[in-house]
Amino acid sequence: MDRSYIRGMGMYVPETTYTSIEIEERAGYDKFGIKKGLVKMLTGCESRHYVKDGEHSSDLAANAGRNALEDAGIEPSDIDAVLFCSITQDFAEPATVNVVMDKLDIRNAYSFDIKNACNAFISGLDVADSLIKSGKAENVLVVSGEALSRWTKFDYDDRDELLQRAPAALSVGDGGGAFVVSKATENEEGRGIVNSRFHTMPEVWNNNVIWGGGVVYPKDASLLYIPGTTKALIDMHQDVSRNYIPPVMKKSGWDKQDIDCVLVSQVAKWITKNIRNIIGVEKEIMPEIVETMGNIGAANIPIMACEARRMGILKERSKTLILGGAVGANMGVMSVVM
Amino acid sequence: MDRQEIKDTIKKTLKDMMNKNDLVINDDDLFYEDLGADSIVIVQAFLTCQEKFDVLLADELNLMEPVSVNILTDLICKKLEERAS
Repeated sequence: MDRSYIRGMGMYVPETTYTSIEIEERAGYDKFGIKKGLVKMLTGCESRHYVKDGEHSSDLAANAGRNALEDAGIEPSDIDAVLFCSITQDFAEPATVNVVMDKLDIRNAYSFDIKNACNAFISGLDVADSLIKSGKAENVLVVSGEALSRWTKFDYDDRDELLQRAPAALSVGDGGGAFVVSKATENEEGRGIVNSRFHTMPEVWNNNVIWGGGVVYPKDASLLYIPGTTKALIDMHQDVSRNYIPPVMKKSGWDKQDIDCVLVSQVAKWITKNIRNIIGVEKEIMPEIVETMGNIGAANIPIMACEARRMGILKERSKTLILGGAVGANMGVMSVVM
Repeated sequence: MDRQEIKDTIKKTLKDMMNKNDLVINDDDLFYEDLGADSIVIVQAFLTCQEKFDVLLADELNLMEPVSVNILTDLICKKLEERAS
């Protein structure tokens, strides 16, 4: 059976940044007499990037995808499948992947969007792996572009909502990330996606719902915003570590001392710290971007991978654990030799 | 810094944020488990103390770990000692 491996990666973040204090002022903390600093204290987010007017999810994804193609050393014409994996999208129809492909001049590929909240990118990697293993593709561009600031609420008129839910919602940021996943040859012996485990708990779907944008509320654009996270999701996120990492590591034949890098979705620094303690790895191999970029949804993983490589944590053949919890709720763990 | 002043600050913040001025808070009561404080109240207690006592508590916040007036006071005193040394 064919195997897949991560051939290239790329990221892109918009130029403009905002501090958490600036975002809190914009959301009305002063107006409602709420002490500023909550966002940073709760999540660790100090600043984040926001798109400018006219910059969309497809732009973020295309810029990241272009960098990933260059990193992989292949042309747009070499790509035979593209998967756009994000929370945000340009519009309801058609799939945003079409716009991304047009911007990247990819003309002869199979494509579709993958929706799975913050785990969309990990799901995309899994699908790319399957397409390659089944012989349906040789080079798959898995790409995410999150313009989450577009779905961030700033016009609060309820102090309790602003106080209780906004600190997590206001920590989101914008950015794009991409992997080129390719069919491995004998030159890539030992590299690739080793094992993965996914699980969905549909009974808690009613947590952190973006109510707008679907047929339930087809005309109410005021409901199209990220409401903030809930304790049920935080608990679930940590359950990923306790219950899903050990079997993936066992099936991969890895002990904790074998792990070179851990990439985990970025919700809050203290959640990352707890997961690190549960796995039993050192802080140095677990990069964080929440402080300078906030929570970038599905793009967290590829952006963090690029940052980990820039910092020298992630190298070719690094044994890497990728894990995430997402609204839905679903969890995913993947072991990859980069 | 007077340890009692730190405790009084924490208790006043909890009462203010929970809108319960007559709440009786013992030093070992756990904020979430015993007093019913939610995560935002706990974060506000940390934030208030960080500003008032000028110590960095952001890296110490962990909402999965139990915290009481005594635990938070110990943490602040430790930070103050580190700063003084």
